Amino acid sequence: MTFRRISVLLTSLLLISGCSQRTPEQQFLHATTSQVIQPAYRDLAKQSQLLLATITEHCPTDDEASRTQWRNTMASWQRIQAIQFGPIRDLNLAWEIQFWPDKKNLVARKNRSLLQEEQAITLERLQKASVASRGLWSLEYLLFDAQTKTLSTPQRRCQLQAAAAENLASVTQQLSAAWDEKYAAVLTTPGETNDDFPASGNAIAAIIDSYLTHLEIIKGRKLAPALGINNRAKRSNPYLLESWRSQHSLTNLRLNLEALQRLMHQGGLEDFLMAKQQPELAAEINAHLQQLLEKLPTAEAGLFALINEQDVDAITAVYQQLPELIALFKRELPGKLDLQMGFNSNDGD
Amino acid sequence: MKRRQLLLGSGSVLAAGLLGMQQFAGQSATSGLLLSAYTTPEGKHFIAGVGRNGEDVFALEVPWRAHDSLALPGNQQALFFARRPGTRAYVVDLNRGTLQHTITSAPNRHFYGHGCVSVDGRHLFTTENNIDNSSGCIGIYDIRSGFKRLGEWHSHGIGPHQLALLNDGRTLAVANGGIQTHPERGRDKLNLDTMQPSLAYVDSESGTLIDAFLPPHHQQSIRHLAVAPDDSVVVAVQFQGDPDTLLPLAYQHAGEQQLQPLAEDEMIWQRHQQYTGSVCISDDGHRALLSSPRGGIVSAWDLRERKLLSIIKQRDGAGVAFDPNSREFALSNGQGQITSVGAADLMQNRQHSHYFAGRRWDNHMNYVSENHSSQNHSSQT
Repeated sequence: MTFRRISVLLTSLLLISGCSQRTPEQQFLHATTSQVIQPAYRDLAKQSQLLLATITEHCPTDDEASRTQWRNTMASWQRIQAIQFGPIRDLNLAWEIQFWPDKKNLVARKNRSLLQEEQAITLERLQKASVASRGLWSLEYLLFDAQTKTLSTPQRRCQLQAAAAENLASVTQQLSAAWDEKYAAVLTTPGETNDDFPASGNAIAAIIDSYLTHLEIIKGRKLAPALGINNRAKRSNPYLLESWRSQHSLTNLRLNLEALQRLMHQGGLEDFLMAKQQPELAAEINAHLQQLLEKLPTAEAGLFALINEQDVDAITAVYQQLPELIALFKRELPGKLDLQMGFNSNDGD
Repeated sequence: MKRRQLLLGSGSVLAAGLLGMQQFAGQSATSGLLLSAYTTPEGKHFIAGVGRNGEDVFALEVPWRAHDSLALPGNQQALFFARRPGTRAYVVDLNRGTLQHTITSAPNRHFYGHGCVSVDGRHLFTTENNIDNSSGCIGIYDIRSGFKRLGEWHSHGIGPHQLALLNDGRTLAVANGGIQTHPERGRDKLNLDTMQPSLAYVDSESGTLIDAFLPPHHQQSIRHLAVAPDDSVVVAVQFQGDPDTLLPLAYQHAGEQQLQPLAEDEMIWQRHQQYTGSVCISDDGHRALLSSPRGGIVSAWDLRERKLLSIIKQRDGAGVAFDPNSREFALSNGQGQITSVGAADLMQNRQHSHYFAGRRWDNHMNYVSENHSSQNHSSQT
């Protein structure tokens, strides 16, 4: 290759990589991937590693230190919980982090038997046990449920916590590395030879669809069952909240809504809508997010206590506004951006 | 039919594709056609045949979105069925790549999107809804007299979907989905609390119910099925119940008293997200592929040991066909891709998928070879 050719090639590469040369679609994909998804997974890996370090150092003398770091790790997870495609799905890691909803109370049952059995607790033992005994929900049970202290020795409880934290650190590191080493490039370079995303519309639809599904989960799984909506008995039940043991459910909701704001701003969805001449839609999404955050109860007691005391007006108002935001993601965004949000998966036969 | 005859047919739509196909004449690994319906981003519906190298052979616009297809014996013609609650089936001349005939369902009947043909090639059986009383029926048509409707049998369930003939040439295996719908209510599901799906074996000559097998849960809608050479049947399920209840989504049946789950492990079924699209069995009966567009995967199974072999990533994947010449499965998806996967190693065989811009491949794809050997037992029929 001649010098001239190399310099032409370099110039064109520089042009391609320069932001100004990117289409609005490419800019959105790059912004969401590099400013939202990758940093969030890196943080999750970091917080999980810190959780392991805290448990190793402080169990059993200072459980509160571990609880605080568990909250940090859970907060980190809530910021990226909406992303349910890519490595988390391809490597089948979702349950390794989150075993919830847990209607059969498997997290408690599987941990109880591990705490009471004779066999030594090691990472290998835990990895052979039920997936319900791993991940953040398992650690929540071990750190926050008073029952665990009566079931076994402090030493065994600490071994189990450490094994669960070690597994979580490893899984979240694997996820973060998979994004950094491969999947970020897959998501940001759609094209005919990209087996995951043959066109940019497919990649953008994957992102929007994932956040849409998350909004539906917030409404249908995180709120409706605990509020007794849609169930036959119409009875509220705070034990159906996402993080009832740690009283973290309200914080989770706030973090989920803030994650959507992050998608709009750092993730570039707002800029993308502007570039597509859809400023009204961008403003509408921003306004809904702002209103939902303002409507979230601020009670220190948390959602568990509010539902327990039937003080549900504020959270019911949040629930009632969610369908409007969901409709924007389900119909307006795909309509205005010409996205196909799943064909066979949407209404197959 | 000889390869030449298929290649040298006339017709403008076909002509463009011929050059592409001729180029590969003689390479058995790349011969034959894949049949599938697709929809464009503008919402237009097509039925199409593409070559194994990704070349277009025919693409015909049709008024109703289509579902499954089926090559008639001799592979001169293919049928495409309108998706429920459609009332049309399209007959395509594979030599010319043209629409030859349109079958209209009987009054107060609509198609469910699937059909199969008797061994002697005389009769077409289709799954239909009796709109008068919401019962399922099997329409019987005389292929040689212009698809004249001869009558119907009861499907012995509500919402019959896919059906196939066993190798005795007489017994029909019918997937009764159990879900009641009415054309006036579109695709609304009207009986989720009381639905009762089944795998029914029906005598195609008398309409008698030979036996029926119910899934463990009454909301496990049995939609699709495939028959192996040893007559064992694999059924694919769409679960209509509580989204947190994880039950098997595929069962095998080979004469047992109950349907046998392909796996018990909830973790496997969690990946299928309560929904399967197609099931397809290799011609030796050893492998089955099960698509889950909601899970974004196709799972591959060893049927002899009822064991999961691998999970193939496939965004919005639905259609699965088996090509006995190349011994590959072909997978299609709503992103316009068709991917080949080896039946033995289950690895993607070519460097990249074939991409058809602007095509959302609909569920179900079928392979048609260019000789007389039909593939009705080896894939979706």
